Amino acid sequence: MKKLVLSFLGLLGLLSGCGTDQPRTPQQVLGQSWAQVEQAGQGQPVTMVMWQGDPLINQYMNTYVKPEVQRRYGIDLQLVAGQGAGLVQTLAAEQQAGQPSEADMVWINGETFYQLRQVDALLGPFVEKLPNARLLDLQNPFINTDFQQPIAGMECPWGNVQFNFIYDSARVARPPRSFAELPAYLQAHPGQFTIPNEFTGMTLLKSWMMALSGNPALFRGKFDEAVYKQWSDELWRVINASKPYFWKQGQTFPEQLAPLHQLFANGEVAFTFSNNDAEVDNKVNQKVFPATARAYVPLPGTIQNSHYLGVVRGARHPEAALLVINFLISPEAQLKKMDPNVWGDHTVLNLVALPAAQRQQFERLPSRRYAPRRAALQGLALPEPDPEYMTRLFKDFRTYVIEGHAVPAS
Amino acid sequence: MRFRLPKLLLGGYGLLVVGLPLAGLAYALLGSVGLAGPLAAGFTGRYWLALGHDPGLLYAALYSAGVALVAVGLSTGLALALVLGAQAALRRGPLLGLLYVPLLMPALVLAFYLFQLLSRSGWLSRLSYQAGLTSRLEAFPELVQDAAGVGIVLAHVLLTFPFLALLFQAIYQESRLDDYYQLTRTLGASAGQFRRRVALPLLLRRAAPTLLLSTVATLGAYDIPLLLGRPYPQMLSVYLTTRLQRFDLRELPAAYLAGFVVAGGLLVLLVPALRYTRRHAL
Repeated sequence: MKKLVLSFLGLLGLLSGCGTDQPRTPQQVLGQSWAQVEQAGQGQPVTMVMWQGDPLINQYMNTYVKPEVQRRYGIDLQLVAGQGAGLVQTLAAEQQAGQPSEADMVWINGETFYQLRQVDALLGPFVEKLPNARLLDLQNPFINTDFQQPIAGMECPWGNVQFNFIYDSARVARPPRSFAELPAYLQAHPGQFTIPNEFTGMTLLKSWMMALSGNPALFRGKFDEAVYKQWSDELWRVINASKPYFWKQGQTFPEQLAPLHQLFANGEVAFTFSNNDAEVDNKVNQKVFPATARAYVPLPGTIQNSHYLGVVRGARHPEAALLVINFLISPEAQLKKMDPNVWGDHTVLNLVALPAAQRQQFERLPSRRYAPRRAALQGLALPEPDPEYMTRLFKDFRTYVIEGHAVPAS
Repeated sequence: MRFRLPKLLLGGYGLLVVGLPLAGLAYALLGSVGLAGPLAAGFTGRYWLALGHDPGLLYAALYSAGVALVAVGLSTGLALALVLGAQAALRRGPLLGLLYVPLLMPALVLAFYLFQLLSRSGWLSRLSYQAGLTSRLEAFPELVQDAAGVGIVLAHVLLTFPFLALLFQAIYQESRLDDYYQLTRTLGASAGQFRRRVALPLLLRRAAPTLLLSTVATLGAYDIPLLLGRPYPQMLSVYLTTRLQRFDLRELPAAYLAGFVVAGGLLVLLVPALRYTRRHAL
């Protein structure tokens, strides 16, 4: 009996120990000085939820970032797969249950940022607390605004990319130089082109819709139903007219980008796409794509956006998450990440703000061999429209293109 | 005291197999009327009212039912043909052992294998190109991610046929159909009459609950249609997952509603299966 009582008391002790790991208020966390943050974050575990669909990105995180944060702060960084609506639902469910979150930090942008703010799942504003934030290029509208939403210190810029077409120059002598040329090209070269029914494909549709409008400025600011209706109708008309010339006559579309990359690598299609303008280099370097793969941006341009890091409001280890984020925007980590052989993700740092020696390191990075240089793309960059444009395009692409329902008259 | 533990275990098992699915169903129901979920804003019946205007769920249900009936029908036919036509081979030689091999494969692995084998850039297409049978990729017939669901049916047949063949063989032996065969032959029946009039009805009647459960399992399959199916038409599980993972959180109640309707429908299908199981337990 005595043993049973002691075991029961031990169990109670364990349970009460679990109960002390309660999240603190944002004010308590963010009210600390950086020295206090460093002290509290040392030796803590951090769980980061991120998209894990690219082996090179995973390799950068596993073989560089994890050992570095362990060495610098004794932080045990755990990477967990998750993104988009699934991530929002998980964090919202944890909040509803009044539980501390299983996640400490998240890799997000666009509609996920918008939705996480809707359900109040982000801790912040925190960016100004980070010592390395002074190096960020926060005057750049492609960095300080995420899908028309000011980041307002609630997420920290991590990388910047631009949507691009990738084609096989061995099969395509002269790719369509503009969205306007695309339908005629597809008709002359059937079966080479398709649209992935996911995030990258939606970026293609947004860029195409803005190109059709002839005035990308129409898509600035809040979602405009009239603008969307007018130009999405035109987009569905153009796409449906070209559909018979798509891969498999447009009767089906890849549901993910990876299968499209595979179709491209197999030679089944001649075009694929990337949201990262340097991806073609790292895919050729890995021998995933043929050496004849090339990237370009069709006129009048494509969407350039940034991706960000957020801290979860109910995080168990928010200080350690802040330390990891501060490291990820350090010149060393950004330099490593920008190397096309590592990841090729463009930096979010203002290079002018860096000491000359560090700036030169960025300038001396191995240049892109198969993608256009960044400077050549800047004039072709379109800002991300409001997240509602993407959610509507995603829904309507399924209805009016994949399922083939008629577009209702205005 | 001796009987408490089994009751406790039974209660725990009941909670696991009945309580948790019912709790999930209740959550889906609450979500479909705006009372649960990340952006729940209070009771609304508009998602239920909109259900009638959205043919997607009905289409996915009909497509799934078609695929399930064809896959289980073909598997049943093949398994019966094997058990009734090749008894000698099933009793001697490696055939019986080989039937177990596909059962060891997870559905996703089998689907991936078929994709590599049958897609237009797959092994068969490459072989036919090398042999001069096709002049280009597009000339190879579309066997996976096709509109009719040929790839999905084939994968399910590969998994279900060996299982049913083993089941029919076990029933055949347990019911001593060999003895009945000798008896009917003595009474003047032909081998064909024995198969049609005696063996076939007995095998089908005793396997009916399993056949129904196999159909329900195929109806709700996810891995195989995810890899071998098209974005449209979709089988039910893929359709529901797609709706739940859409970018727009405001779509969630409609997805919860679709999940509730499908889960409720499948439960209704399971009731006759349970009745059959009680009557014809093996």
